[in-house]
Amino acid sequence: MAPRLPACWAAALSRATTVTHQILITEHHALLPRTAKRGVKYGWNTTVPPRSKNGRFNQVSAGLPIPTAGPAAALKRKEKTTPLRTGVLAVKKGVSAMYHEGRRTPCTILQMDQVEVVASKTRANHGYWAVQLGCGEKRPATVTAPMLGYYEAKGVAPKQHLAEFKVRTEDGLLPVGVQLQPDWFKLGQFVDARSNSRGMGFAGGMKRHGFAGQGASHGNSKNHRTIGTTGPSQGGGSRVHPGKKMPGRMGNERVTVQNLKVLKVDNETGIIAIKGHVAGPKGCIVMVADAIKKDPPAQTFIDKMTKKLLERHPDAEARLEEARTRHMELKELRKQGKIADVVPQEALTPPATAPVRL
Amino acid sequence: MDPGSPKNSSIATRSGSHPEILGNYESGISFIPTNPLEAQARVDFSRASRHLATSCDELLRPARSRPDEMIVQSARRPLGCWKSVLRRSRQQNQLLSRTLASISTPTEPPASNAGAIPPATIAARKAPKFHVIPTKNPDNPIRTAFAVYSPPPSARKAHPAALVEYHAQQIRRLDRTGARTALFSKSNPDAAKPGDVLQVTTNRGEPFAGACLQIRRAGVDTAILLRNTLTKVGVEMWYKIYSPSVLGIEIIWRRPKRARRARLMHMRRAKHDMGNVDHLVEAWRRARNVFSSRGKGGNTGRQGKNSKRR
Repeated sequence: MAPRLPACWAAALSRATTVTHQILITEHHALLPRTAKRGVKYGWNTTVPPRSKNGRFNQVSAGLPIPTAGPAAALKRKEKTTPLRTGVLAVKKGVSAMYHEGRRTPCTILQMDQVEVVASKTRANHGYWAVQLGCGEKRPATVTAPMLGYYEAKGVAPKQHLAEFKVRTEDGLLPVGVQLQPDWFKLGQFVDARSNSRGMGFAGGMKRHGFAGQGASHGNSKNHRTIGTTGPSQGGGSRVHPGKKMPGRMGNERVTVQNLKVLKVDNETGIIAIKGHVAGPKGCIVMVADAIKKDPPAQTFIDKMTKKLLERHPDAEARLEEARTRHMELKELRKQGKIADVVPQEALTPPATAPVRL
Repeated sequence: MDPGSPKNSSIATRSGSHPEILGNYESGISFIPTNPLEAQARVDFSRASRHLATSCDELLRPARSRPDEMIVQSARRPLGCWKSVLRRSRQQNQLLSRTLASISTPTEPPASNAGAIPPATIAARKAPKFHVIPTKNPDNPIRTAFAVYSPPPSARKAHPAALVEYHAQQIRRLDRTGARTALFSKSNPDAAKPGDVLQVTTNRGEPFAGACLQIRRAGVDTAILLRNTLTKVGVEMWYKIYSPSVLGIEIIWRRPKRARRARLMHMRRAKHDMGNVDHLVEAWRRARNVFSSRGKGGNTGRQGKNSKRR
């Protein structure tokens, strides 16, 4: 615990003091070193890190109530709306229909492609539990060097997209390197689908916010689709209030469609068919996760799927460890500038034709 | 099997020696010897005779229960033009080729296991390749290099057209005979086209007949728009052609000339409106009764129902 400042600090300063080059000597207290650590070197600003932990006495053990703000409180607050297990990444392929027991159900066809666990985020290191997933594949030539190092350390191929799915507890985490398949979802369960909506470009007030527009006649001139006045008059302040709805960029924003039923899963083709529609154009990336407003799938199913996943990748832990070790070795070689020694000769010559990108 | 292939047409020619196969048609449809298809067929006869020798029994059996969706022209009507001649000839070919198709239809291929993940071991894992970031300095050609691991098998590469596969899969399930698909197939010259008068029988209410204004092609979700005038009120109905509630679709009347646009929205205007099509339905029904004592209902185009009709 940091020592508390003397109460008579100000008084001591006002009295006769001797300031040497290094040490401030007062009547009662002395020997505080004049180091840059204590002073504000580059002026006051709001981004300077706090130099003392003021809340260190505000503990439950000191008789205070449990704090309702802060990281722990936030996690507790969001516990019920955080899924037990991770979702998946999928690509929207299009919209069709499914007939079941004589009834037609409109559905969206999604395809999962090379969805792998890339990293786990933990409460201790990152402040929350989450699974980082990647999907697709990317040519290494289009990946930056820092990210190549990241994938090297994880032992997975470079991914086209990365996304993070928060999970409630540590039990929701998965080993790095395991691949998720459509059967991760149970037939008939409910999911939420998050994706970016179709971008509309710069849109006017009528299209973007549903404004009524103005009359076609009665003297109206060249203002048929304009939004009209933007600020109320005197009582309202005679100004434009913040957040006024105006023309601007429309669409291409995150849209969540909740409680969609899973109609079909097919590991062979990677297809997931879910009831209803998902925002975004064909080919967009969709984050599909267990619905937060419905009961999660039965615990037995979750356990079964997790077990199956581990059976499919029995040595995920060992692989990760192997990749990490290798990464540290290569990293050291890169630092020393000796990486050329371990690169095989065929890797030096660029391929005759660039690989076809899908 | 392509109904217009030379092999099929040769079988049609050969079938002249089987009066029981075409017994019903000989009275109504005169087979013109100068048919160009026949000329072609004679050349290919030797090839088809192999099939006939092995499968004569099978040829006879399904001919009685064949779907008659394509037989739409009046049997008593004299041959009007080459178009109808060719169409009838095609119908006879198809009638027989279907039987052959049913013989040679392969069973469902076993689902391949390409997408499944094989149990991996460390030993089986491929060593990572190196991605080199080069420099322009010939003395020190490598700026840096990273190990790049190989990706897992890609479902997207193996199945790039996932939506098309989904459609095919669902259509296989809903249209086992393929009759519905053939009825609206673009490659089928006898398919229903915009402008034709179609009749749709559903599992509820009376059949609805009307002029087809457009075909909205969307795989298993394909739909047709029919227009009729009932009690002097224009009525339009959308039908999903693969819906289980659609029991049958028949071509009542073919437009003499192919419509030159895909969507006949102008038929909603009074000048082009066909009006009520009941007289066409009645004529079609009377023509059908030539062959059948029970002239009600339509062909379903579904398995297990054809036997009831004949």
